[in-house]
Amino acid sequence: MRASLAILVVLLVAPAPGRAQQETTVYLTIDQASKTLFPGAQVERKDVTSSHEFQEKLKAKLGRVQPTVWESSYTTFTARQDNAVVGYAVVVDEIGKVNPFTLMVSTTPDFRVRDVAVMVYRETRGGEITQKRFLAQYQGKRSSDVLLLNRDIVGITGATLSVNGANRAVHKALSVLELVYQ
Amino acid sequence: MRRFGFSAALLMLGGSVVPALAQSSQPTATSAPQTPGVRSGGVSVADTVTVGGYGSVRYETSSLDEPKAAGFDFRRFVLTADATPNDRLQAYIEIEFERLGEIEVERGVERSPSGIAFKEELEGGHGGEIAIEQMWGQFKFGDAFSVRFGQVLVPLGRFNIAHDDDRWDIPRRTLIDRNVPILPVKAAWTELGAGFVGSAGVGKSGQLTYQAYVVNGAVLDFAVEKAVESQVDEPGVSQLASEISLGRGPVNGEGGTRAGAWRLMYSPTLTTEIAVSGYHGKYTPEFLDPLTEHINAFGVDGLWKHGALSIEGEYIHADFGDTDRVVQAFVDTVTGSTGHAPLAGAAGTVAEFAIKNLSPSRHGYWVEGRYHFWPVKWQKNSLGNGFEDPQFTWVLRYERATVKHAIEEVAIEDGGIESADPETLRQERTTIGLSYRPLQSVVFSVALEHNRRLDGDVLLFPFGKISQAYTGLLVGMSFGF
Repeated sequence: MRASLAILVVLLVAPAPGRAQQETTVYLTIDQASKTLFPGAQVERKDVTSSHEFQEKLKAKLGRVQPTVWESSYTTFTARQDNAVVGYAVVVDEIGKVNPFTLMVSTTPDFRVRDVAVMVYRETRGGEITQKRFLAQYQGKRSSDVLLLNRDIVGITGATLSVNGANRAVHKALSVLELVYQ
Repeated sequence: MRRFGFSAALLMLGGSVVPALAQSSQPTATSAPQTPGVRSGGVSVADTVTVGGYGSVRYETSSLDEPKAAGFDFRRFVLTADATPNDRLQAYIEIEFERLGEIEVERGVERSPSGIAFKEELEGGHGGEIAIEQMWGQFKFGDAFSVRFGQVLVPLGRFNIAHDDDRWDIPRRTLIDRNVPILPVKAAWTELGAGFVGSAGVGKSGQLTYQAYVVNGAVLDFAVEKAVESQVDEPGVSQLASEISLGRGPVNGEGGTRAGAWRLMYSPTLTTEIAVSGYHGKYTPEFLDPLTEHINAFGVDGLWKHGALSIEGEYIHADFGDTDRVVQAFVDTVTGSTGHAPLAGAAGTVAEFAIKNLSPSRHGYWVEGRYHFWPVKWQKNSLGNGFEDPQFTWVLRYERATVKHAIEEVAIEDGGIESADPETLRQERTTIGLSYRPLQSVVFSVALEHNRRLDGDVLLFPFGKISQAYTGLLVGMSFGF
């Protein structure tokens, strides 16, 4: 009886739903976005058609890695500062468990991962891969790194399939940027 | 701050530049943390419903003095359905078929010139069981706070809430959570109730996760067993036995809300988890009133990873109060407080009343180390070809369970009350195994286990065997989808 009352009390003082929703929707202008992505740099967008030839080159470059979503085109970005390239970025899709999620991967000029962020996540589970402590593992990684669970990437209990999806997505992003800009 | 800005920038850019596939869906910048108790994976059967599950089988043989025959064991098949009609609403169910070959009920009426016969037959497999392991609905206020209502896994220790067979590399569950068990009710232990779950970031890389429920709670419950026994040169014997032992709480609203369970887990980094948990509640049933005894159980568990190595463990202590009073209340109830056992029935019949497996205190732990590897040169052989990330895992598990002052059984039958002297039983088990995972959700495993009796006259598992030690060989396969 006392336990039941305790639940009722906590329910009554629980945070309102509206507050939680504010945490999941973020708006920025394009000016703000480009400044934050590469502060002080000019960001130039380039859409790359994923032709059959491009896909074959990408598959050959990926080797063992088998991404499950093959986009018809890739949206890429080059960031310049004082006429010098300071980084690249690309948007990629990948299957997590049953639905695709969308990542953006930015790199340094020598194609090491600078940052990874989840743009759209459509699964009901496995969302821990959106946590910055998980995504921070990719910083500094190159396409030649193995990017495998229990090797150079620490997994998350209960989110293994999403972790594997993120590994494939980052591998694909690095390979796309190298094919386009290297 | 930089990370927040970067992510936000990507979200904004995503609205205008994401590839065709992303644009075709309604981009909703949502993220759903792993929900405690919900298994990952599954197949989407509609926009909002995912069906999944897992199954496992095992071959087992041992060197026990009186071993059961070596053979295959259908451990279980569990079917799950997860419905999320909205980002903040979720319903989840797990239905378990354990060691179940078949259940068949036949009924019939036969009329003859001399009268009529009503017949009912029940046919079933050996030890088969159908159970609802989980069935709950959840309303999410935010990542940090959701309300859950229904049949939930009791969050005592880490095994009970992560018991799916395809997650583990040894094809037998842990001694303290299943075989003995130290966990008051063997895993998977579920109870009907309501409570809260949630997680929140702590500091730069920490994560705090909690669960807390009030539940109907484990209770001493009865089961009626029937048997027919033949005897040399004697009439056959028809036996009826009512056995009282601890089990999961009722789900029909009887008995009231008796218990609370909670777990608090802190993960300072991705590589480390440490948790404390507890369960507290009355376990004596109404038919033993006014007796009131409680379970007070505590658990500590953790996980640490470093590269290909991971170490995981759990300790549980469970106190059951004054079990002598429970035994006395049982005897008083059966005998009408006279102390005189019911007299023997008609020849050829036996009626037994028994209370089993009582102990005032139990504790135990397990520690498991795993090392994942894969020889690169095997990538194109028959084990590796076609799989992106196949893995072998060496696994070593050590476990120890102690049941203090155990009372195996107090039985009342044929005018007598029989009770063995309580004794402390202690057993250890060491298991070494190797598993192969072509996919993360499919595991083939082989394990060699060595059990040793440390205290008492009999083993805790298999209970009652008098061997001092024995070795078992397990070969298993588990799959999830």
